[in-house]
Amino acid sequence: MDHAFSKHEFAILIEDDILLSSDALLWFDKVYRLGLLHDGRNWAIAGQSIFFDSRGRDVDQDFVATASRFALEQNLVNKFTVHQFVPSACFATTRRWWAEFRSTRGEPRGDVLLCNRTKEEGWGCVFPIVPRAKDVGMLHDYGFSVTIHSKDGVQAITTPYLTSEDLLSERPVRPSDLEQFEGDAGLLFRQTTLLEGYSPGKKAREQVATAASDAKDWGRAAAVWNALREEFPEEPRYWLRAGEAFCEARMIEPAERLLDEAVRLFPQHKWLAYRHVRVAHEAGKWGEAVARSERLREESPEFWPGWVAGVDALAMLRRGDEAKDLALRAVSRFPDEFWPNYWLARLRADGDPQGALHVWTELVSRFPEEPVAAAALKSASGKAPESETIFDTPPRPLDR
Amino acid sequence: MEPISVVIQCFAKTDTLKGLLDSLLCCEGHRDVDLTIWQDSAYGSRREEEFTGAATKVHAFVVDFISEHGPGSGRSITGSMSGIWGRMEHARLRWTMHSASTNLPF
Repeated sequence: MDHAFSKHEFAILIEDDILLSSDALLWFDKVYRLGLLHDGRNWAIAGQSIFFDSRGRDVDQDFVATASRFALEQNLVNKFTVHQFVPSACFATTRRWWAEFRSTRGEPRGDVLLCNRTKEEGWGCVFPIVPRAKDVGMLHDYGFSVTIHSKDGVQAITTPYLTSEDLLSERPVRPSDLEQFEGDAGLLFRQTTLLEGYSPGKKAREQVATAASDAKDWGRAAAVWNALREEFPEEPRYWLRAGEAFCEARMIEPAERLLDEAVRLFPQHKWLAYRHVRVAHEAGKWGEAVARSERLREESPEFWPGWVAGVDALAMLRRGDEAKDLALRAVSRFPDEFWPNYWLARLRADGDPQGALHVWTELVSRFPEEPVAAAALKSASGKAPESETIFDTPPRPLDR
Repeated sequence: MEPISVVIQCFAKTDTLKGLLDSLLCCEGHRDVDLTIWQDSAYGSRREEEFTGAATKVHAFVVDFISEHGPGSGRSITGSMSGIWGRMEHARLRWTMHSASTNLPF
């Protein structure tokens, strides 16, 4: 880049796993000519987009066709947004701004450091709504991500299913057409990248959200369920599923805020109360989890998850005797429910390593369809008993 | 469009680099590109042995590409590339190639 700027005021950096749309050079040139890098707010121009990105998921051709029509109708190919990060693989900047951030970009993991700095210092980067470039090398055997994380470990996959190349035959870009997108960027993101579609009904959005939860795509599930919750706050199920997704995505603070409000709005909803216990678990507030589980048992003594959550919290607090006593009472009250029996078995097995095999064998014989029991038996059969204690992270029942 | 500087950073992926260069040659305005190709060196990197062969192939590919498409190359062009050459022969492409050891944590 230093070499390029020795001769030019403006340059484009492209990593070797990018494919350009045929109007990519025009895009960079036109944005540059608009003066967006001269107004003291933007450091760079991106070739990629955060929109129209399937993130590695399959997108059917009907959806792509609808997306194309939508992009054309909304003239999105000529619109841009400004975000506070500079993408690593394809961006353009000026000699002035390169001098400003070249040392950051040149450090090990400089692309990440540059994004952090861009945000912290309040700089912007101009992004197209419709991608002018796409990264095709994230899962390449010689790619940085794969060599560091292995193929299975690469999570941040970008997969644009629509680029400006797909739209150019119908509407070529004109310099005077470029303008900032003034619409609802969050909605557009949900429509195009979270793949909610363009006129989704409540049922269709529920299906998208359910599919994301079922696939354990928790970040996406949290976004879609939370959007439903915001739009239909009278539906406790949306609060519950959003809370679950936030927890599973390890977004504990928003999960706590959401569930605190949910239990106030729906004080009689037992599963929300249970999830409220669980989020205290996830936050490491086990004393609070014990207190919440006690309240849940008092208000809904016939709701077995309240008992299980209490046992779990006591175990995490290393109050083994109390946990065992509560588990015994839970099994006495709910003899045919799996999870109370699981917890009692677990506490017994941990307290009696020599007898663990017998305990788990008995549980499996009673609940042969429960994979958690089978896994526990397998573990007890195949490894030293002292390697597992009640304080290991245990599996938990799902809240439905 | 005035001359526009494009810097391509590559390392060991010949296939994706080829895709990028092909797409660049299809861009409107590519004749006005002042192209710099920078190859990170495998030498001195932590996984030098694993990447040296692939990086050498990339280097050879870039040299061939420049010979084939750079100004004054005078090369005969095969049928599949003739369309590109037809657009390139009056192009203002200028070529610079660098390599360096970055000691990236491969």
